[in-house]
Amino acid sequence: MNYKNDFKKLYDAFIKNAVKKSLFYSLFISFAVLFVISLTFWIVDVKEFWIAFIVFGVLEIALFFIFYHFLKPNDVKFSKELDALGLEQRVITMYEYQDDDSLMAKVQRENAVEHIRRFDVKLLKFVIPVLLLVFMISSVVLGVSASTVSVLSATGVIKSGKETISDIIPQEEVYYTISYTAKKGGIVEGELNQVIKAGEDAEAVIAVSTHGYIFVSWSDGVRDPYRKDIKVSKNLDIFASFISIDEYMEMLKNPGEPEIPEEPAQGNIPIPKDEGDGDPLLQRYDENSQIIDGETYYGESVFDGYQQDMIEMLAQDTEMSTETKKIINDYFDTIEK
Amino acid sequence: MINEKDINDFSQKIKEIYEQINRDVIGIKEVIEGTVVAMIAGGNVLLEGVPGVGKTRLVRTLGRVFGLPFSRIQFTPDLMPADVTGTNMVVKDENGKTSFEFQEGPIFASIILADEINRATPKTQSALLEAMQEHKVTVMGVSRQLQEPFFVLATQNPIEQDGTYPLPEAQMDRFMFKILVPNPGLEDLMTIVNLTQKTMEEVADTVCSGEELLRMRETANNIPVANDVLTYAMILVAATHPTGEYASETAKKYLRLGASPRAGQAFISCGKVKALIKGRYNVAYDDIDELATMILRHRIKLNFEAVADRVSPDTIIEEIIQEVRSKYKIK
Repeated sequence: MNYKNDFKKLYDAFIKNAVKKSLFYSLFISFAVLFVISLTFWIVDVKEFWIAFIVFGVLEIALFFIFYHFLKPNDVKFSKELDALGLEQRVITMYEYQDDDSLMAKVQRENAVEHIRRFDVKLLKFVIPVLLLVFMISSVVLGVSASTVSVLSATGVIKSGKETISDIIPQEEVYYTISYTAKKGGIVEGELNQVIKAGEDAEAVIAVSTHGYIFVSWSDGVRDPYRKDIKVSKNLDIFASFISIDEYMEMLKNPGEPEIPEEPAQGNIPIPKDEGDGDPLLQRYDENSQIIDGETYYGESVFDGYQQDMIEMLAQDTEMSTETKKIINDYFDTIEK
Repeated sequence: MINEKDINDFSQKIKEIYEQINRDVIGIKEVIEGTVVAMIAGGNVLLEGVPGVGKTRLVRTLGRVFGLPFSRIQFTPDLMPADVTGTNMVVKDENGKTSFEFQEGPIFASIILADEINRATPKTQSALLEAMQEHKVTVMGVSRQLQEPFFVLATQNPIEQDGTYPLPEAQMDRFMFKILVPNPGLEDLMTIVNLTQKTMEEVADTVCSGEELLRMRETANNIPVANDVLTYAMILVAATHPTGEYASETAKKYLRLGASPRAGQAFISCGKVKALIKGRYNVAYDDIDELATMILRHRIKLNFEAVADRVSPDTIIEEIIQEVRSKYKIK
């Protein structure tokens, strides 16, 4: 276009604007992509953070040229842009009629040139809309932040996204129900129906046999009447089994396959072996000799009997020092409490 | 061929024309400008307004300012076509021999004031069709050319519906502009009353001959139009066609019929005049927009929905302009 030389300053301003716009838009998109890739890498714990930077660089260069290709001023675009800034289609008309030698076309060109010379170049200043500027800044901040986090995560300085998310976002709480019941011949003391958060411990219960019965086992095979289920991970329906002493004595007289009154939930429950004098089960499951939460609880008759015997024994013993007698008395006082 | 003097004289002439018209006609600047633009572009104008707003006075003043033969036809229901065009009369010569001689009607002038045109029957109205479009009159098979320049400046009264005959589309289309003449504002009203208290005499001088007017038209015709502007004007016309490829949403909703190609011609020829009046030597988008309502308002046919919604043609045209500008990103 011949008239381009007359308005080189304007044309150069358009080229500068095209470069600025291309750079602006390409950076905006590239940083947005950098943000997405870095964030993804951080979340899925990809260690190859440099891929994000390579993508950013390649994308930035490619987009810059693509944008510049579309934004760079050609004669028609230059003319239209100028016209849109208040020249009222003078430039595009001048461009289209540049080879017209008619008088009116010449006058029109002169008129257009006159107006363009009066044109304020400042009007061509690249003005970024506020909203776009906000998006741009956000994109840069997010892109830089996400890539920094990704690098720090990959180098082990900070936790990966997966871990951080699981730390931050609370898992859905799961609760299990535990039910303790007693079969014939006993009761279960403690909280019989419990709702326990997954992984936590249940409250302790104890199976107590009634008169004439002894405790056999819990339905899951646990043979200790005291039980405390720890780290609960499923619903439990447990019952305590008891056997009458007569029946038990009969079983001892007719050894063979032990007959369990109720089939336990999990496997067979072995019969307790004789561990000393007398009937071990009778001793063990005496209602006056229970161990609860690691402490021994003695029934009153047993304790009183032992204490009476001890008092008599200490009274008869003349060789024992008074100090030793006092220690023994203190012990009985302690266990009585 | 136009010369530099023609170009330079144009704006001076326009200035003088406005000055003289303003001596007799107060206010209605847009009406005056529209009428002058149409006259330079060679189009007919339909002026619509209530009685007493200065329509007839404007047309008379134009006749004086342009120094053109002027005739006034008061349209009434009993007016016959021959009353307009003229007719063959039987005349006797000196020897007593009889022959037919054509007696020219009032149409044989340069500026025709067709006053209250919608009060005549369609038959009489149609007598103007040929004159308006082809600037000739055919009577008894003989065509007679009307003198140039030739304009029909018609007035019609919107509220006098009784005893009126709406102009047919074909005739409406032959009016380049339909200009609405508004009531004068308070200030203009005071000026009018003060002026007419002193004298009712019209004082405008002739500042432009018919020949000069034709020269101005030729000068304007040489104004270059960029392809984009031409395209925009044509899209605007096409956008009024509710079923066309370029139909605007507004046209689809409110129009039954769009503007004819004459509207496109009017946009360009009047756009050139308007540009020259503004001292610009090319047509701009704004020129097209400013002309749009005058060119299109009588050429579009509203559908029932538009009537029911009480949407005026001017509103529809404004919406179409917005739509086209937005759709084609015209800045």
